[in-house]
Amino acid sequence: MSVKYSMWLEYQIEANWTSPLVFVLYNTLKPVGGSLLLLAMYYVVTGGFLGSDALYYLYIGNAFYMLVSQTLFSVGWIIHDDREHYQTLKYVYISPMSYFVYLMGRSAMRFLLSILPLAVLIVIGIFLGVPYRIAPLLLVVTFIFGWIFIVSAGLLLCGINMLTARHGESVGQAFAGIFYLFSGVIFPLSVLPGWASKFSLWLPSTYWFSLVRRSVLGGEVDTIMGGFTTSEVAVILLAISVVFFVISYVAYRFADFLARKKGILDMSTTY
Amino acid sequence: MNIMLNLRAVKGRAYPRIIGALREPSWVFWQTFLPILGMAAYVYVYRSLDAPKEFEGFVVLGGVMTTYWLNVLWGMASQLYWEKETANLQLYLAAPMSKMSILAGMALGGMFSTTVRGLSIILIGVFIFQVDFVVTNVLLLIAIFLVTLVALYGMGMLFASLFLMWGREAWHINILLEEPVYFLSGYSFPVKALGSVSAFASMIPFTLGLDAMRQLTFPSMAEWGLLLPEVELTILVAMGVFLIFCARAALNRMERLGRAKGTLTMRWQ
Amino acid sequence: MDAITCKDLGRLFKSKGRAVEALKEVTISVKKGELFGLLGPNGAGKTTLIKILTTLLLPTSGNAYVHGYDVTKDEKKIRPIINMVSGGEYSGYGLLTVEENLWMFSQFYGMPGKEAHKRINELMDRLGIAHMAKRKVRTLSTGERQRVNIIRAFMTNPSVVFLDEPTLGLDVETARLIRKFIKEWIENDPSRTVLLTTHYMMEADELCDRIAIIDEGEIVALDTPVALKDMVKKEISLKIEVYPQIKVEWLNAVKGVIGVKSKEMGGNLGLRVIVADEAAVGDVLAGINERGGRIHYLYKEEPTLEDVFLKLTGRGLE
Repeated sequence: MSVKYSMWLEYQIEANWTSPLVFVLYNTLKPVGGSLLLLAMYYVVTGGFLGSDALYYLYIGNAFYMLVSQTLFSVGWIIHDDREHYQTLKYVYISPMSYFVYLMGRSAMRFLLSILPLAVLIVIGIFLGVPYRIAPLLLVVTFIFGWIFIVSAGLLLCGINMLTARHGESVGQAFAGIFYLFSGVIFPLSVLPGWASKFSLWLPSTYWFSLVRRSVLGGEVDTIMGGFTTSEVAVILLAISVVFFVISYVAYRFADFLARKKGILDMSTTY
Repeated sequence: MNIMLNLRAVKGRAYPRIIGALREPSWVFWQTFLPILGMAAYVYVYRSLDAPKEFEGFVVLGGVMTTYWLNVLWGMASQLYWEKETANLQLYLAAPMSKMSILAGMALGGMFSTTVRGLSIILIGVFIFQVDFVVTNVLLLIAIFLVTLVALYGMGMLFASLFLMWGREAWHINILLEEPVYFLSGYSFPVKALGSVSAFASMIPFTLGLDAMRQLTFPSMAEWGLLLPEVELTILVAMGVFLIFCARAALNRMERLGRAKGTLTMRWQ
Repeated sequence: MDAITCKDLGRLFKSKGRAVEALKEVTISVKKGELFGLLGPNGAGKTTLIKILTTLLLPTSGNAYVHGYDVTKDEKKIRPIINMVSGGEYSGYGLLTVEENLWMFSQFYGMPGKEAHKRINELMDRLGIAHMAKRKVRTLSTGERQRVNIIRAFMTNPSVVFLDEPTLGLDVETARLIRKFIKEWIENDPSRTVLLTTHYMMEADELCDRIAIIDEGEIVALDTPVALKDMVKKEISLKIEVYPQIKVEWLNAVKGVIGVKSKEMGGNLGLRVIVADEAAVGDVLAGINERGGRIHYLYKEEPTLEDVFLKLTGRGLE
């Protein structure tokens, strides 16, 4: 029940600020703008838009990255928003509903709302000639695993935000930058320096994006990730995601404890 | 216009920004280190496509200017929305200073952390990514940088006026403006590649400023320049003056509209 | 020229097909040097009126002037001479200290730094928070925060101060301190004016030279507290404790005595005497004295502003 209400709240905050038409337009223009940037970069180097694994890699990676960045952008904002904007954090916190469950509910709705811009980009990809070979079951599994790792990252971020000042609205997006750089989202891992590509193999997002490519494009073009079978990628992703979730949960609980100990759970840090 | 009053107001509002940054140094991680990762990803995209080295420099320079653009969007324009939500806006509006002084104070105060971020990007570009900046005209480069900032902040003040009227819609417009502006301004690629669209894109001060600065720091890529740097500087000066005048008029108009509709003190709009 | 003038002032709010008339033809004048109260329940229109007079909101009908300046057109002339405080205010920045927050706001009024610091220190001393100067605002309690808000409003030495429920939610000591401060501030300079809104009748009664009672956007009464209470004709109830015990039957024969109740109170006599008017009070006390009784305790229940509001609107203030 608590999850339902926190999901409802997230919808009210994130989706209910304008008319449906403007909302759809917003969820179209934003991801398209991000993709156009990458397409333009591709174009200035290669002189074209069509028929290249590199382009499809870049495009699909960026499209699914929208799910990560949009969810983390909003989740990264929940603590600061509740604490300093709406000043409801303490009231939700002391209610019988677990604050952890509340955060899970809000991030779940945010994840669901982020599927709309992803869908827009998938459709646009058809016109770009992206050779979709969608494996529905694998795609569903990919979404489920995606939710686990994104929510874990969000939980970690929330824990950190409990202890830090409100520096700005983009902390969530900035946090997502870790995945953007180290997960083979828009370029193959082999381009990274050796230590960085080794580090990438410890991130759940690396395996998630590989699963994305396999479930949408029907194969893996990254030379490093291509060395794993789909089953291996799925199992490793599940294992790392569980570990990541546990680490994030522990970190969140510790941050929660520290915030209460220091008396900063409802602090005001605007400047 | 009382100049001393407004200068003091600028100083007053800049102060919390600077002190806040010094007292809560975690911004160094959130607003400097992490955003650089996103920029670095674009550098690696070019490497994966075997692009000329100078393109990586384009990304680095774009990253520097983007930090100022984000400061305009989030540190200034949308800040009035935040001030309204925290009940400071009504005190600002009831005070005799100009609204532009408040915004200028926010911008100047925010420039401390923004400039630290910009410098970090340049250092990383030079030492980590081995980008080679070849500055052909230092004075012109500095002039273009400063005039671009003035024009950009003028644009920010214009956006800020929207927040006097609207609430969450304006905040979401802010979010919306990030990526499309990156695209139109050629944040990570030469804007000339956009063809005729670049003419429209030139209406954003960021576009011309970045284009001119690239020509002055990567002379070997001059063929990717849109217009001559001197011409772009002239346009930027005109743009800056125009935007500041528009911002002043818009702020007054939006304040009046906000007073008429009762939205100036309305929270959770 | 009056400090504040409102003539047929109206404010209509429209939202999604609904219209709310927050103010209806409000006409009041506040003289310079006056501490004027606006008393009314929640939602009466007090804050709406304050917002119009502080140039944050435009009226939809009528006119309003502050020191002769039109609130709709002359905001630039009004803002340098006014200031405001709201109850439950959370303005300022949590990361800054008390001193820094106050200094910052002083800059918005163009106060030179030295003057600002001097004024801030004086006021912090007056309001008993000098020792909190270096504390971050976010660590303050509600009462401490409100004292800071009061300093913020008064440090610029405004000609007109608007106080919107300034003691809302405060403890007795802090509320009393703030009321004392407001009273002394206005007494020190006859050109200063305060417009105070409250729904605490005791506060309005204690502080205000004149009070306007507002209900559902309309002024229902405007006069001094004494004159307003005189509107309410009420029997006088006396509670008296007498020692030693005396006979009380004679009281029913005293002219003006409506009713008597007595009870023993540990060797003394407790009396409740209802009289029709003030003249009977003297007769009752004299009669007690003649029969050997001494007054240990006497309490006279007075009509209150709540009684006034009740009579005018049929409802209570709170």
